[in-house]
Amino acid sequence: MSDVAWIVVAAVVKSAIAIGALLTIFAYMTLVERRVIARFQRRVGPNRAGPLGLLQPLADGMKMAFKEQIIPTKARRLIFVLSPAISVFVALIAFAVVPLGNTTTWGTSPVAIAWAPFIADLNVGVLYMLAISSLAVYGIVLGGWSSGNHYSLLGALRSAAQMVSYEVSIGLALAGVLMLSGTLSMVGIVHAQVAQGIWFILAQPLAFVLYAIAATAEVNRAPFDLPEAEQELVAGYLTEFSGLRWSLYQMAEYINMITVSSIAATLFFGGWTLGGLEGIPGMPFVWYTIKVAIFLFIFIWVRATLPRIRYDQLMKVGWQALLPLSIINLVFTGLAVALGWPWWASGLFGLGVLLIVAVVLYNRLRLRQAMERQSGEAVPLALPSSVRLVRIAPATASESGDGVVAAPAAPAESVTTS
Amino acid sequence: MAAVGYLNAAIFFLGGAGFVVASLTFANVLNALLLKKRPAKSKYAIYESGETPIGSAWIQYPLAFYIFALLFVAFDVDIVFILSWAVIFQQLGIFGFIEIVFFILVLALGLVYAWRKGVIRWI
Repeated sequence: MSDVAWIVVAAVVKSAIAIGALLTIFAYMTLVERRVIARFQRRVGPNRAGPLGLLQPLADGMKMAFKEQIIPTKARRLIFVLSPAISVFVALIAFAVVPLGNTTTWGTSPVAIAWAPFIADLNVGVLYMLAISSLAVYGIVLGGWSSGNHYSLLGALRSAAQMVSYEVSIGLALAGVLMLSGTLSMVGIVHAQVAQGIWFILAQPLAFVLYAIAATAEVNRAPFDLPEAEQELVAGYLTEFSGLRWSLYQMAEYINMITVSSIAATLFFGGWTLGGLEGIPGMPFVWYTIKVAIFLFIFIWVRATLPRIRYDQLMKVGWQALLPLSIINLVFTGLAVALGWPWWASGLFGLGVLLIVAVVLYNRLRLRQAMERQSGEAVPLALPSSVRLVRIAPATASESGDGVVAAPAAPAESVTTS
Repeated sequence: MAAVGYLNAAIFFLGGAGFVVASLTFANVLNALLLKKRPAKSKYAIYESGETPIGSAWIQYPLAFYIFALLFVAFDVDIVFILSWAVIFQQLGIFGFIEIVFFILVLALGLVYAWRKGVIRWI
């Protein structure tokens, strides 16, 4: 066979493997997440289906496939049916440029290079990734809009506003890495890290922290899972979806998690390399998997630890904290590269900024705690002016003694904070 | 080599689309073959926590969403320029840096303006 035929065969096989692997990882990710969260909460988690619950994803998948897929009468049918498909399609194809190993892992002949462990080494890799991840918002907005449900529409709008807000910070944070690497290709960025002898996390700690926060918001994970805030919006854009369409949305969320973890591992942690140990045959893939697995575990850990933040806080963090910080990082990295300073200049600068932010936040917390100790009651929250808190006084003095709420007996008043 | 990359990506696109179509068709076929449909009006009504839905869902929504979308468009277009600059930045040297600082300054001014106007505060 000719080389072109071999390349096509290799691409087909690699695509099939990649899609199969992503779906398998998604299935087992749900199991791992449930078991790990259960351990965090001192429960056992699902362990009945098969040994250690290993058949649980299979059982869930079977159940979902057999469920009736309800389309509400008020829904716009075509868009309603298409939007989960858009969501999962976009999540899948974003993985195309993620390199799991070097171009020449199996040798240097054209056919061997065709079997390199990634789908495509585009010279616009990072741009491709940003472009495709922007499309993810379509599946969610169209799904929420077409449901014909108030909750779905609001959940979808929230999600859209959240994703576009944090995408700006992602783009600016990654620009710092691109300045150091001088290429947009994902494989090229790993090569640049090998050539410079460092992982870019060392030169760009601030960019990594910004990316980590913004990416968590981008994939709608806790503590930024506002679109799915069940206390306010039932299930957000997912409210009307059932059966396999619902699980397609879940699939998209988990595959997006895998993709953003892969980008973090590739751009900031040297991808498949580990200080020269990638020379051992078969090991690049192992290092890569370990790095991504650590990030995925941190996703679960964060979800088990942090409470969901309020929507106004979310927008405030996105536009008033992450965006200015990423602009500062961009300008300083540019200065360091232009003047030819070594990598630790921007590294130290990033650490310094992070330290200042940490001290400011810590002081605020201390101040608040001190105020609470002095006054003996909770300091009013910094709520947006549109929120009105209503304090309801107990009906009589005798009943207030055994009331569950430990609110002071104040006359009924409407407290507006700004 | 770049052409090979795009060919591979196109094949991957087809694979992804194939999976999506196959899974949805599979579920629809299973539904059609095995499911005993018991249509009821309330089952196909939209879910609003058990209440009867009032009015259309396509309501007026807060204007703030629109302003954030506008801001996003402004910043995202800037990012396209900044990314393409960042890649070839090492060859441009100090001249490229000064040029982009002006560009970023305009961007930052826009952010400051939006901040002073109070539109990036969620109300």
